[in-house]
Parts: sequence; structure tokens; C-alpha cells
Amino acid sequence: MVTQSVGLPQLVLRELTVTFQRRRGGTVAAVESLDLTVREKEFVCIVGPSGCGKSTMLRVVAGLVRPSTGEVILNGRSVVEPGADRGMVFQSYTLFPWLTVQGNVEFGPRLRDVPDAERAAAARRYIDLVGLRGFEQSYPKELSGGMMQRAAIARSLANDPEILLMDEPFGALDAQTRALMQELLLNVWQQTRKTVLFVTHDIEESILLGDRVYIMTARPGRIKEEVAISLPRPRTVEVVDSEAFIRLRRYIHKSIREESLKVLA
Amino acid sequence: MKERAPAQSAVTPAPREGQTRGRASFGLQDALRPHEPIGRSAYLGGVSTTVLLIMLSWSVLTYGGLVPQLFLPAPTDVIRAAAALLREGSLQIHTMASLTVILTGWALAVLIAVPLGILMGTLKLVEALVEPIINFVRYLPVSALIPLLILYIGIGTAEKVAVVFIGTFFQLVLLVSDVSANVSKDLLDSAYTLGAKRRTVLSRVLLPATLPGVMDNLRITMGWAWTYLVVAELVASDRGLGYMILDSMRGLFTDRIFVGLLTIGLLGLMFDQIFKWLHRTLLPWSPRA
Ligand SMILES: Nc1ncnc2c1ncn2[C@@H]1O[C@H](COP(=O)(O)OP(=O)(O)OP(=O)(O)O)[C@@H](O)[C@H]1O
Ligand SMILES: [Mg+2]
Repeated sequence: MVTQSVGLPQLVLRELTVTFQRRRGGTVAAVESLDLTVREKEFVCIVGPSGCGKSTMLRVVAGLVRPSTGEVILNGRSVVEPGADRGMVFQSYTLFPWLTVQGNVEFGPRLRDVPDAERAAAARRYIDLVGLRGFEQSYPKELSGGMMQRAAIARSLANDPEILLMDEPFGALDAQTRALMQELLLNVWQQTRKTVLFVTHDIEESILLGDRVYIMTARPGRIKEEVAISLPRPRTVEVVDSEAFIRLRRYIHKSIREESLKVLA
Repeated sequence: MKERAPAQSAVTPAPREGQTRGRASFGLQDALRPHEPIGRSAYLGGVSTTVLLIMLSWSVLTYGGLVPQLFLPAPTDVIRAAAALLREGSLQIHTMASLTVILTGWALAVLIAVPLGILMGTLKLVEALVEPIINFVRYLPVSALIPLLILYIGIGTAEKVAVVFIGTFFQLVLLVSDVSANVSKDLLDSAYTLGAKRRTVLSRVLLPATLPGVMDNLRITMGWAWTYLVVAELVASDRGLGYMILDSMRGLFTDRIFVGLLTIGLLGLMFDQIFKWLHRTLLPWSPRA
């Protein structure tokens, strides 16, 4: 059993509030007074009812949305704009269609003028890591959904970000492919030990992947509670049948259900 | 991990679920599946069937004496008229005149409309500045402007270029702005999270993302440009295919009218094919290539 290496706080969200202007006047609070911390090399998952502000929270961390109040601090610096230090993988397919897999993976390094040889080596490493060897010269239109998301993960990793933000990256995939992708991500994470902040509405996914799971309240989203996942690592999908896994699943499920019911009430 | 790229089904369509394949040959069953590609020979078969049917009815109507020759000349009459026009050299002159006007007017429109449309779809400020004018002019039929243009610049080549320009420009701006407004926000955002700055996102992401849509609209507006051109040539002109048609009508040379129509049709077909070829060659990554 590998013990968890608990690092220093790397990402801190403090009293984060995001309100959107409604088209017909008035405002909606998507996220309200949200606090959370991600430590170095930690894999943190966020689950919550639909529309509770998970994507909004992640987009604030990425610097794509400006918070109304509160702040995001990454390695001691306040986040004000998007940057290569925070890679993001989206639920929708966002590979650049005009670039090959290799071109996509080299996109970030190319922007930073990384020398050719180094860039090619990084691309090769991450393309191999996500199991896309042989598809370097394929265009996205020639790939399946799962392959596109793997390439998107490689593209983010090739930029060597300090933290990887993932917004339901497997949400658009069928169940079998999703299971394979989860296994692949566990493997990739084991080898790269990136800090990951992973948003999902799939409870099993969050337990399988995460060191900790934050449960969000219904909109306006804030942290309802935090669940430590002390399942041994390295993990494989077999863990889902374990007693501990099932207990955690039941617990988180109940907690989210309470929140979802609030929305309906 | 056993995923494969979707097989390129154009050559040998892979059998799919729910598809029974009794015979080895390419049956009607296969050809009637929505959106499925059919073989090249099957496609060409379809094309030649249509062409043959048209030629057949044309021949029956004319050689069978069902329609007076003044209304519909026989195929051989049209061929003879075309040969005569070629010998005189007038078909070449009129075709060149039309091509010059259409290419100049259309290219000028493209040169300005494409960048403007991309900016308009991307920056709300540009949209606010440009949209009211464009939406107003767009609904003015170009033909209504021809008298004014003749008054301003006479009936020479410049006037016809202006007609083609105005006809295509305003439509193209709106079409292209739609294309660029529809570029996925996540695509742009993922570029930002890879470290791109605003200018880079515009030039390295937004611009290439619009290319397939822009290419389609270039093809479509080129088709419209022919309409505006011929209208301009019919109103006041001394050369061009539109003029040739009008002039033939005055002498009741129906066969020459048909030569003019066929030439316009064939040129249109040629341009269409060129654009499709360009799309495939320049944008091999495009889902529509
Ligand atoms: N740009 C915006 N303008 C106005 N309202 C917005 C905007 N973005 C999000 N919202 C609103 O904020 C709330 C939270 O949205 P968000 O997409 O963050 O939720 P989510 O938890 O990711 O949902 P899902 O599980 O469906 O992905 C929603 O009610 C949404 O309508
Ligand atoms: Mg979301």
C-alpha cells in the first residue's frame, strides 16, 4: 500500500463568488462563497448536482471567468488571467481540427518557442502516454471521441502545467469508453503525478480517481462537505467492487441527493 | 484500448448493425440509407442517368416536332450555333468579358468582406458599427441600384463590377460573420488555457476555424454573382454573355440564346468543381472535405 504524499497547498480558492448578469436584468449567483484547497500532487474531484456551478468554478481557476468577489491563489500568486500554468480539458471536443494529433500536442510548447527537438520529444512522450502512438499524423476528424479526449489530455500535459483542470472530460463518451479512459487517466496520473482538479457528476468516477472528493451544494454552489478517499494506490477499476468503495458511493450519493431534492422543492 | 479511427467508408462501406447483406453487389438498399456514401460508379451512374434523360426528352420534343423550333431548338441546332459563334470569335469575347467582370467584382468583395465578416462575428463593437448598414443594404435588390450606378459610373465594365461587388459583398459579410460567431467558445478557451494571448487566439485559432465555412460561402456567393452579372449585362451593355443572350433574342436566334445559357451553366459547374477541389486540397482536415 502506497501512502499518500500530502504536499503543501498549491491551489486555494477563497470565498469565491461568481454572479452572472441575467439577460433580462437581475443576477444569478452560480458560485457563492466557495472555499477549497488542492495540495501538491493531489487528485481532487468535485461532484455536485447539475447546474450547481462546477464548470463556472473551474473556469474561474483557469482564468476564463472573473470572480465577482474572492480570489484564486496558485502557488502563492493570485490568478487574474488564463495561463499555461493551468491546463484545462473540456467536456466538448476542443482539439484544433486543422492540426494533426502531433500539431495539437505541440501547440502549447510552440507558443512558448520550445526548441524543435525538445518539443518533438515532449509530444512523443505524451502521445505514447495516452496510447496514441501511430496516430501522430491523424486529423481529429479521423479519431473517435475517446481518442480525441486522450489527445486533449496529452495536449494539456505537454505544456507541463502546474495543475490540470478537467471539466467532465469523459462526459460525452459511452460507458465502456469512459471506463477505459478512467483507467488510462489513473495510469497517466500515476506516472506524471500532476496536481489535478477534476469536475464530474459521476460519483463512481470521483471515488475511483480522487484522493479527496468535494461535494457541492445546489446552486449557488458552495462546498457542502469534503470526503477523503483513502483507497490504496495505485488503483485499478477492480476497486469499485470493494466494500470501502461501495460505502463511499452510498454516502456521497445520499449527500448529493439531498442537494438535488432541494432544487426540485 | 482497442479504439480505431472510423474506417473511411467511401471505398468499401463496412457492414453496419441492422444491415443485412444478402448479395455481394451494391443494392438499392444500400443506396437509400440516409447520408451514407455510395460508390463512385453508382454516383456517376446517377449523374449520367439524369443527363441522358434530359437529352432524351430534349431530342423527343424537338426532333419529334412537338415544340416549335423558335421556342426550343434541337440539340444539333445549338451545336451548330455554338460552332458559328466560336468561329466568329464572339463567344470567346463575351465569355471573357463576363469572366473578367465576375472575377473582379467577386474578388474585391471577398477581399473586404471576409476580414470584415470575421471581425464582425468576433467583436461585438464591430458588429454594432457595421450591422445596421449591412442589414439595410442587404434587402435592397441590386437590380434596383443599377440605374443609380449607371448614372454614377456609366455602362462600362466598372458599372458591372460594381453590381457584382454590391450583390456579393453585403451577403458575404453576414455569412462570414455568422461563421466566425459560431466558432466554439471552448475551442478559443482551450487555446487560452494553453497559454495563447488574444492576438494569437485570433490568428492561430479563430481564423483557421472559420476557413471551411468561409470556403463554402465563397462557393455559394460565386453562384449568386452570376445572377447579378447577367442582370447587369441584360440592362445595359455591349458585351458579355448576358448581352449575347439579349442580342440573340432581338434576332429571334433561340439557338444562340441556348448557347449562352449552356455556357453560363457550364461555367457555373466548373467554378463549383474548382471550389470543391480547393476545399479538399487546401483544407484536407475539414470534416466536409
Ligand atoms: N455565462 C453565463 N451567463 C449567465 N449564466 C451563466 C453563465 N454560465 C453559467 N451560468 C449559470 O450558472 C449556473 C452554473 O452553471 P455551470 O455551468 O457552472 O454549472 P455546472 O455545475 O457545471 O452544471 P453541469 O453539471 O450541467 O455541467 C447555471 O445556472 C448557469 O445557467
Ligand atoms: Mg458543467
